[in-house]
Amino acid sequence: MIVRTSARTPSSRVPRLNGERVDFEVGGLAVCVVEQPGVPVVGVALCYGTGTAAERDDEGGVAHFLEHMMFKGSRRFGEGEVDSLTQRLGGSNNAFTSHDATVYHFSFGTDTWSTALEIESDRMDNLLLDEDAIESERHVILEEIAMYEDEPWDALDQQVVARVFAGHPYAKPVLGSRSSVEGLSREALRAFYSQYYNRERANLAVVGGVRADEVRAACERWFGNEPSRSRSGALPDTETLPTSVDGGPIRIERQHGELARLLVAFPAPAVDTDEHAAMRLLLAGLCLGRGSRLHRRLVEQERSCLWVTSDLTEGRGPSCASIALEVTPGFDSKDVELAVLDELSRSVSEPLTQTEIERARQLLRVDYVFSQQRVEARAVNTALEHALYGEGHHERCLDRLLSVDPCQFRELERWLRPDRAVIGWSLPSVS
Amino acid sequence: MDVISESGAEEPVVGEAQERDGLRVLVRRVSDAPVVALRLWARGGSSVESIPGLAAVTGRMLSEGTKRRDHEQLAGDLESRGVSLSSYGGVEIHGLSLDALSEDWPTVLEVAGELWHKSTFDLERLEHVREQAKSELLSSEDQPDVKTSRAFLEQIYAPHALARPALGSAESLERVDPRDCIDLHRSCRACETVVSVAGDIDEDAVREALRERFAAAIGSTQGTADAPHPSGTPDTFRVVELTESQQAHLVMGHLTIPRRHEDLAALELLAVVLGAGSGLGGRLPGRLREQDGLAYSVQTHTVAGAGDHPGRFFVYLGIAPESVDAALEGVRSEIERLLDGGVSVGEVDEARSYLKGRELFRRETARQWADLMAEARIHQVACDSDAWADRWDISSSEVEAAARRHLSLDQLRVTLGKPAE
Repeated sequence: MIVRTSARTPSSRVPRLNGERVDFEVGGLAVCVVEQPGVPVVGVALCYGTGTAAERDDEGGVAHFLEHMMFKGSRRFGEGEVDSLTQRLGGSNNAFTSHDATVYHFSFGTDTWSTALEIESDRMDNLLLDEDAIESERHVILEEIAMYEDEPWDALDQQVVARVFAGHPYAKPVLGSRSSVEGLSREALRAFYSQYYNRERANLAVVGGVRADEVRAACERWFGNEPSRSRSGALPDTETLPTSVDGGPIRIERQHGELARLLVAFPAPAVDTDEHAAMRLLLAGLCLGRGSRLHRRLVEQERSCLWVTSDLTEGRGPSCASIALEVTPGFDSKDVELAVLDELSRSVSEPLTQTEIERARQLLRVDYVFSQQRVEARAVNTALEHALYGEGHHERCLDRLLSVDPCQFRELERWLRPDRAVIGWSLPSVS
Repeated sequence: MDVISESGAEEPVVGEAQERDGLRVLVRRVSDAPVVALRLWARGGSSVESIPGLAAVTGRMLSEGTKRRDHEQLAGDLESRGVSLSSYGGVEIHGLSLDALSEDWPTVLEVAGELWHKSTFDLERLEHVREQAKSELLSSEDQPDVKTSRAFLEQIYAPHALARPALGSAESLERVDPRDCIDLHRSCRACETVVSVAGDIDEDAVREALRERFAAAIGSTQGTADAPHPSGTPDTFRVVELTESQQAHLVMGHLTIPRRHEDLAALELLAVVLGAGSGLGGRLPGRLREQDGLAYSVQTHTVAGAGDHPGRFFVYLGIAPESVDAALEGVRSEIERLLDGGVSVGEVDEARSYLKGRELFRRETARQWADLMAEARIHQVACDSDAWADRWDISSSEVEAAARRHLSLDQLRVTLGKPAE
């Protein structure tokens, strides 16, 4: 069945994006096409709705390792050939692993985009997992781990997020640990691949200067045969909430570098809820732009911080809300921490004013439009949306955000209590 | 005074640069999304600054308040409409960017004109920007790759501005005062101002509005100082101690050619052959990452950062300390293989296809078009994709010859960021 949806906007406040969307299924693979006539490029993204959260405790890093191995040879595309072919056709490609998904994406011209399907079809069914290639890639991943551990923000983020999600699959490091990666076997990679890499677990998005009938024909060719495997591996239970951090705050301190860096994080409501939308708007009011509360106080008035920013993660399960900043040398880190907690508390007792709300809404609305402009980015967002949340997720979220009532901020108090915080500091090293 | 108006269809070409006393206006309709992007640049950045860090500070001061609005009012007025503003100073330009929904294009033009001509360069705001810049310098010291790359740039570019951080140093920042900023901005602005606007807009209306906003204050033939020629430091092997790093960071390379050099296209093809293309393709990632498993990150280019000044050939690797010798040997042997054995027709064909294909993806969005048009004007090159892509229609033997002219093992300088023991 083909479903055609045009101008799918929940309300007039959500900006209309270019393109007509068509959904269909081929051989168990869910496909979404966004037709943008006249656009000379095409973005293709294949999202497997499985990532780090699905790993067993004794196979940390296997999802990410497998992502690397998808470039190291399948039956028809030898080691390095995916990159070489992509380059020869004037395209580009990349991939990433998260806790809930692993996404492979390409950009091509309108006459070569179907090569992406040819590659994905082969490596979905016929990955080689050659022993020598695994050993070589193991060294590469160990260097990747070292690189992240040396980077002050990445290292701090890893420790803080692990505590926020303690007891939950989201606490697992995406790259795994040094020892877990050293211990991963070919059998573990093969088992994960066999369980989770199949059409029924994948969502394909094709965006740009293509017609849905062309995409359908290409999908029939590359995915229309009898699949070699069907759904087998169970998805992890991400609905379970993390171990409560009540009774906190929990403090994490590490020594690194010249500058003090603070990351304050809280467990946060799941996506597709009114509370999540309210949280996003609140964080924008606190940290987004020069007119935000924390920027004005910490960067402009007290000048105790170099910058301040916020983040709210999205996934199948619970989210993590966080505020990050770098402290201006000479200022007391304790005062900065107190100021952040004070503003968080004030944001509930003295909710954002209508002017502050409108400012934050407008910034988020414009950001949404800019973030969807490139075909590859839109293909990735579309594939992820389908795999994790269902059609129309991004528009629904934006619409919800634009509808937040100020009284909803009070309901966030239970999430933002200081005793639920994980406070992570990276402090200058003592020489 | 000349006001030169160009639409996207009339591409800027080499030669028009002789008309140096006009405002360069570039406007293009990009209708994919309801947005508009504006870039407003003056020719002149750190390469002509009298105090290290002055251009970066001057650029930043362009968003710190005008005679009409202080920085808070400015932020309030713009953010209430979702308009994002950033201002900056680079090596060859300083200026600002404004991105917004297309319905706000009149606001974008109005604010751009106000910032350009009526910024106050207030001392109190300068103090703030200065302190921010000093903290940023300190923050970047915590990035081992940045620290190593900075030492490498000094090694090959001294005494040119590229040899030092764009923000200068804590000491040099102390010497910057508002008058320095005003003088640099005025002299560069008079030398050449480029304004590019792309988005879902009425081109004629935007062009007309730009003429009104900017015509009054442009039009001197005043030039800026010449930049010192880069020659590098005498040391060929430099070690930077990294106090809190597991990884070693290795950067090696040398100067090559400026952006308008006739061998630029050949060296761009060569860069892709070596590994500057898509994914992990190319000789150096193929050898050092895919075959030897030495590094996660292998970066290379042959004309990185080329402008009026020479670009650089470089290879960067983040590796285990015990792999340094193997990595050095691997890079050297690949350069040797290139210079002795040349490149194959297939490799050059693949590189050409990649570069030509990539051009489409550099022109997807209003932001990209605004950047591209302004850059093309500053560097006096074409930005039309066909004209640009034709440059790569050269043979593998021409690429080989260019490689032998511009790449050399003898000239190689090496910076090693080494974890402290």
